[in-house]
Amino acid sequence: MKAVLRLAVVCMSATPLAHGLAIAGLILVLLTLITQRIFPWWTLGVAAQPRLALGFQLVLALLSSIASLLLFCSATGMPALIHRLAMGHQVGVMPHGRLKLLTSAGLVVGGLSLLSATLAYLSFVDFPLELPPIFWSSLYLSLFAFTLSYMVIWLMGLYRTTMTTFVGVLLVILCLLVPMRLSLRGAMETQILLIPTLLMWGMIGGLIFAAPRFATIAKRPAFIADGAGSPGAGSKPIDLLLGTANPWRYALAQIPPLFLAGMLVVDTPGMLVLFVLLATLTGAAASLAAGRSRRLWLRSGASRAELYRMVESAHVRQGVWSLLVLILMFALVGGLAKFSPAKFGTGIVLLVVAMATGNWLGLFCTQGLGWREGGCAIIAMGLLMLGAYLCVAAPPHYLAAFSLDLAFLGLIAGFRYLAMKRWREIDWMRC
Amino acid sequence: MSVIETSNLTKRFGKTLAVDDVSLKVERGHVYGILGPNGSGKTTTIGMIVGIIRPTSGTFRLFDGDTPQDLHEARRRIGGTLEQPNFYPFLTGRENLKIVAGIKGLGKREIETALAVVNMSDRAHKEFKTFSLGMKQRLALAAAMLGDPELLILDEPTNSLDPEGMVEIRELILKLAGLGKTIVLASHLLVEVERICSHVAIIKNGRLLKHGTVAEITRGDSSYSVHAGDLNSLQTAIENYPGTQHTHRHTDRIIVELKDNDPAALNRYLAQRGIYLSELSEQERSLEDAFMEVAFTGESNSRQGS
Ligand SMILES: Nc1ncnc2c1ncn2[C@@H]1O[C@H](COP(=O)(O)OP(=O)(O)OP(=O)(O)O)[C@@H](O)[C@H]1O
Ligand SMILES: [Mg+2]
Repeated sequence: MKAVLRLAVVCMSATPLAHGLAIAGLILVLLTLITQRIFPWWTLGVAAQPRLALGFQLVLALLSSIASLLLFCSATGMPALIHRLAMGHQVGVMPHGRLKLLTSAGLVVGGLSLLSATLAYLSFVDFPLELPPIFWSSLYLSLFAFTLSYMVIWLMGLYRTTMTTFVGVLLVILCLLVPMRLSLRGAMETQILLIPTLLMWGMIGGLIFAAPRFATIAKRPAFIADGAGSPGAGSKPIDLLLGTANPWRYALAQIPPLFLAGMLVVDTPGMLVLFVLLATLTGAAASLAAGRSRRLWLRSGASRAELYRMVESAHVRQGVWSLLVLILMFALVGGLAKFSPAKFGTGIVLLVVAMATGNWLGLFCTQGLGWREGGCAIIAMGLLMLGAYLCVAAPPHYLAAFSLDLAFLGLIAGFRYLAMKRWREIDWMRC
Repeated sequence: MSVIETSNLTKRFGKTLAVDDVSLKVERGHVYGILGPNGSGKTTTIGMIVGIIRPTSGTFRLFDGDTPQDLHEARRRIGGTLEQPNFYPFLTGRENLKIVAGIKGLGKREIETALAVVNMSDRAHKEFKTFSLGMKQRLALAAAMLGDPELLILDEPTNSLDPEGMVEIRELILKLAGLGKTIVLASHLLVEVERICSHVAIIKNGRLLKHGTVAEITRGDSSYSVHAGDLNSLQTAIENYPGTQHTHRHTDRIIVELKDNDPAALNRYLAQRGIYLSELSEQERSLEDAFMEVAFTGESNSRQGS
């Protein structure tokens, strides 16, 4: 699963440009959503100026399609990447490598379609209570459109001539416009598009699994960027290899899910749970450190214990950034919900605790997620949820929350102890 | 002075016995090939030596030291490529080396030296993603060479290169050996080991089947090629000869392996039966023959897991 997700992320951020596009797209998604949520009356047409409302709605629709387009563009490198990976030998080494490759491609397309459908739907409807037909029809349409476009892009990459480019673009436009117009006029059920979509995926799957037979076409195996972030000026080499060189990127990446969730989760207890979840997950990014730190061995000349300290401090530094952003967002939400200072304080402490727990739990996972790590994670998560509950319950139990925080200090110290112990005898071939 | 000396090195991954009781010795100036088919435990063996994994049992010495402190110090004298060249595609070769050098605490001068050694000085300003696989591999070698280590450990350095690229890398490795480096290299390619290594350890299913100089391993010690006018009666006679270990019929001659390595006795025996040999010569073996032989006899008595 981890490999699939990582592949999917690489697909969407293979180059700095793609990375930028993805981020721009996400920001735009955010922007649309904010506007939706904060000024819903503008878009509903109940304002004094119906014409203005209509115009605004159009702008929003436009913005959301640009957002989808940007995200779509960020993954234009995907067909070539998947192609090279399928042809390369690394995929053979990975267990179920081809299946993972297919799944990650599906994940990218599925995710993009889902996002577009949500955006399309939200630009028509203010409040998501149930998923109306427009959501489904734009989902089917997006699935079809994205799949088709990526296939065409793949083909154009294979045969790079002006003619193929021209024909390809024309094909995509036709295949997009015709179903869209037909479905808008109600002349066609968009569900039908599922059939060609599934057929295309069958074909893609077939190609991925049969790739070794076409190996002669393969030019050379791909080098995969691990998505660890591009080296910026002044970043430390160690951070570059650990992927902690651009903490702000991770920090900002927390914002879109928060906003997305802000649309769906209306009550504040729910929001706090979400914040805690995010804090924990961001901390848990440290679980990648074990695998990545292998590249530091032999090079850094550090012992395992020294390496642990380096990795730990790199991740703590990154965590602090993410935490700052989270706290800022929390303040925003809390301000809107008129939290009392006590609630603010308790919530912020809980976020710090959650991040630290995730961080050291992540460092403790040197060999993936076994039942031991999973058990620890579940227990820690349960306790964190309890903390969130104590904070937002109606009357809040601040004292209990405070004692829980203290208990967490012990838990974190325990995780840290275990992590250090494991890192002292880490086996990188098993990470 | 020995650079690496392992004794009874063993590594178990759960139920898999990846490396089983391997004892070998690499001395200064050796180009030591670890030869074995896929999954035989080459990477695991090397991994234990460089320290990215810990042995289940057994010990080893690096540069004649075996305390944890010695091993730690020794690793500063080792350079290695233990994975596919893994660099940032959108940075130039030189920038990529800068990152590695930064971790090793080295500067510009060392980077240029390493680039010069692998003949990449004039191409290091290009982005890594534009490199051919051979150049990527050379950059990996340059990264390993940063800081001028005495021992280079290379895992399948020519893997997935085209024949031309392979030759390039092999020449480079020979050049490094010429600079006085001790080199350990894992490979599943016989020709590679035969061409560039001075010593070889053949391993299969985690077990060390045979080791020694390449010359020793390839020397045919008891196989002879014989020929006579009537091949059929020759074959029957040889098969009846008590000193025969094994025969193999080719179209124009018979290869015979003798138990006591005494070709004169065989000749006498045949002459007594009226068969006069027109040819009796010691069989030259390639490393491939040696490998196949060792690998096949080794298979029957190797242990896999438990
Ligand atoms: N992390 C691991 N977990 C479990 N088993 C492993 C692990 N790494 C290697 N093995 C097993 O150990 C054995 C030896 O593997 P190793 O990678 O050392 O072989 P190799 O000779 O390097 O092969 P190749 O030529 O394919 O690189 C194999 O059976 C392999 O399946
Ligand atoms: Mg290997």
